[in-house]
Amino acid sequence: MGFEGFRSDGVSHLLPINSAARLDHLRLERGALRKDFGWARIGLAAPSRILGLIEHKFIFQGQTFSRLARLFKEGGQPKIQVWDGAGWIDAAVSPDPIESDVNVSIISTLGNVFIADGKRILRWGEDRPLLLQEDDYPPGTILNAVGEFGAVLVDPGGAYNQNYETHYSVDLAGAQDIAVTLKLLVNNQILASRRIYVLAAGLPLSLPHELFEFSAADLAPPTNSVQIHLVSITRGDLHRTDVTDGIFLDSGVPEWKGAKSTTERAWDDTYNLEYIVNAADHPVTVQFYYTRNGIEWHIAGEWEHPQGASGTFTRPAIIPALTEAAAEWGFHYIIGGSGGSAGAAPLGVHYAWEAATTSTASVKLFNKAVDADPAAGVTYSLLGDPVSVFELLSPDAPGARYVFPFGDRLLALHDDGDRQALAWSADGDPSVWTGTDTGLIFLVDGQIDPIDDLMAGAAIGHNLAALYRRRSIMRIQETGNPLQSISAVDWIPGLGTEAPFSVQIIPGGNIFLGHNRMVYILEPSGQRTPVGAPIRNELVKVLTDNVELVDSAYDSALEEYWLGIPELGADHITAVWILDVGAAIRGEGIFWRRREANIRRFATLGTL
Amino acid sequence: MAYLPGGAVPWLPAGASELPAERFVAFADTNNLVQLLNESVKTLDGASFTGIYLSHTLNRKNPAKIYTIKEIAIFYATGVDHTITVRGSGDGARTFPVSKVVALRATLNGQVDQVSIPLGVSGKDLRVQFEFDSDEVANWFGWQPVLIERGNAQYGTR
Repeated sequence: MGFEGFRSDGVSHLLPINSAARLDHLRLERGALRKDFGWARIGLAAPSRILGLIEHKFIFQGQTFSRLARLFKEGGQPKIQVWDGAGWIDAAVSPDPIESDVNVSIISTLGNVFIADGKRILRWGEDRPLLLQEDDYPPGTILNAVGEFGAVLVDPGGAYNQNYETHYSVDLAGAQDIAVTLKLLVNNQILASRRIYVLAAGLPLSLPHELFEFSAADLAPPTNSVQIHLVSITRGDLHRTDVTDGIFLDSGVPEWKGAKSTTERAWDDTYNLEYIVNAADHPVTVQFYYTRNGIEWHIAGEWEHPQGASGTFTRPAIIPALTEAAAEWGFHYIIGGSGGSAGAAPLGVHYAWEAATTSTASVKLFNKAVDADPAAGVTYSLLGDPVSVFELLSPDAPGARYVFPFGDRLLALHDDGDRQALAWSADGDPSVWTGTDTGLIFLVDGQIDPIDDLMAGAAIGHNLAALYRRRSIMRIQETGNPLQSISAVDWIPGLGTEAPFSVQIIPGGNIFLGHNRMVYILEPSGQRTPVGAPIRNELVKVLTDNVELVDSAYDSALEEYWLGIPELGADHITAVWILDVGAAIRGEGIFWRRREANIRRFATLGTL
Repeated sequence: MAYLPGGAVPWLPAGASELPAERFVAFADTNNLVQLLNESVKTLDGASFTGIYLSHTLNRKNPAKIYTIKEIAIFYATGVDHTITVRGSGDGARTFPVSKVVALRATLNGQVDQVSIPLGVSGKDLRVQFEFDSDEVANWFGWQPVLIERGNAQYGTR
């Protein structure tokens, strides 16, 4: 009891009696035989040959979208139509052509459909453009004093990704350090603050275009207020250095004096005398004098430097309430001996004091419409209506004949006729084909037959993909090195494929039609299991030409591999061989059956 | 183009939304139509079709001798009465001199029933062909030929 499916791999009277010499439009299910399912047309015919059929799934803002799309040429241009449940509706026409009526390589990945025809890669996707929105602060809104603020109402709300920016400029001037603190309030809640601190040496400072970036979920009328507040201005101390000039007070004794250059009283009444001493041969005593009226001199400090203590010194002295306009500094030194080398000279008197209002701050909140500021007060984007885009993927992308996804990249085989080229896009961005993290290599070496063209590729395991050539199989991996992101090494010599579209990903590996007309299951370990023995004689007999027209599909629910072949040189698929992949993987047997149909392309569709 | 609703399969034909399938195989045919393989559809784009099962050579003991298919027994289960066509060949399926339409009676509760079809076809390469020409579903769990070596005793292949 039970059926073993179609077999042609032996003499008829020696093959199992429960296998069939012909098994057309029947199916095997759990050992039983029954009539196969039917099929029904979806909508009306396309005006010309369908070059590609694809299910396109993509996720946008957490929602999954599904499309069934067909590709054909109209007026020489490639055109995509999608099924909307009632009919085929035009989605897009590409300005870039498809060279000839070939079965294109078409895949859905990374949110787009990619189409390779041997000359270029086209991209079809549904983009939603971002529409810039602008709202201005009232004209002439300038914050100069603590407590001042400006407000803008945001309308409409609902920014893309809830992202907003508010724009302003800052001008700081004056002679003392200054710190300004701004706070961003959205709907009366503080979302951010910024402190700008500039040393006196950096003033004046102009920051012509600053911004706050913030995220707000509910920024729409009526709760739509954005405000910038000037919450504090802090100023630093003023600094001064007075230099004594070279006037001799007494004949024969080198002494200096100089005016105190301001009537401001030093912070903490501390004045720092900086001087230079040469005590090479004798000790030197330095005296720091001051006068309030230019007549009566007082000593503020005296410092002894023993012999040999030469160098530059700074010494503090406290002089209470030195605010007189006639105040002066005096400097005197005494040498503890005669002859030889010794002396001293002042370098300056340093001091600092607090000052309240010397430096100023000005914060301009932007108004683009009236004040012609570089940006509007608040900017954000709204998501526009979806636009169908069908275009050249990138002028930098190769003229690929076959594309497939691997990792977060798009991989391309062939480059405008060069059949040894393997190229890969940047990680996560299939539109980038130049620069670091991308690559184009030619897989030619001494061990590879020059005609061993690259044919197809498919992921086969964790960070592993099989790269099918005509007579061998390579394996590729992501290296993690952006300078050579993809590595390709020889893997299985002597076995390849001439039918690039026969490759399907199945549980535990790939399935493909070998160049020798045997169907194999290839596992990540490199183990390949021939599963096409029952039909190999049949394929050798009828698959004589147009092997590139072979197409396939994998039905994951019924675990069936559909292999469509053009028989006896036909220009389209005339027969479909169907393998029970699940039974083959589980070791239950290799069961093939056949269906007759006139087919161009396959696709597998899924619900969610 | 406006976005279509997500989370559904918008391309299911009207009235087919209740299909339990989790996937579908579709293809573009040479008439530029897109066809959807569907468990609930019994025709090929509206046209009826025939399922064909052709056996291998039944006479295995001695291919040089002439045998006769006395009868064919079929083990099946079906929910609806319907017919199939059984043909016998003695020349390796080049010709089928005997063709019989056989009624398969509905079976109850999945019970496997048996029907025997006398054929009486002789030759050196005996074959039998079954045509599933009805749209009704029948599950066959096996079949068994009864052969006679000419002039000799009857035996079965199983």
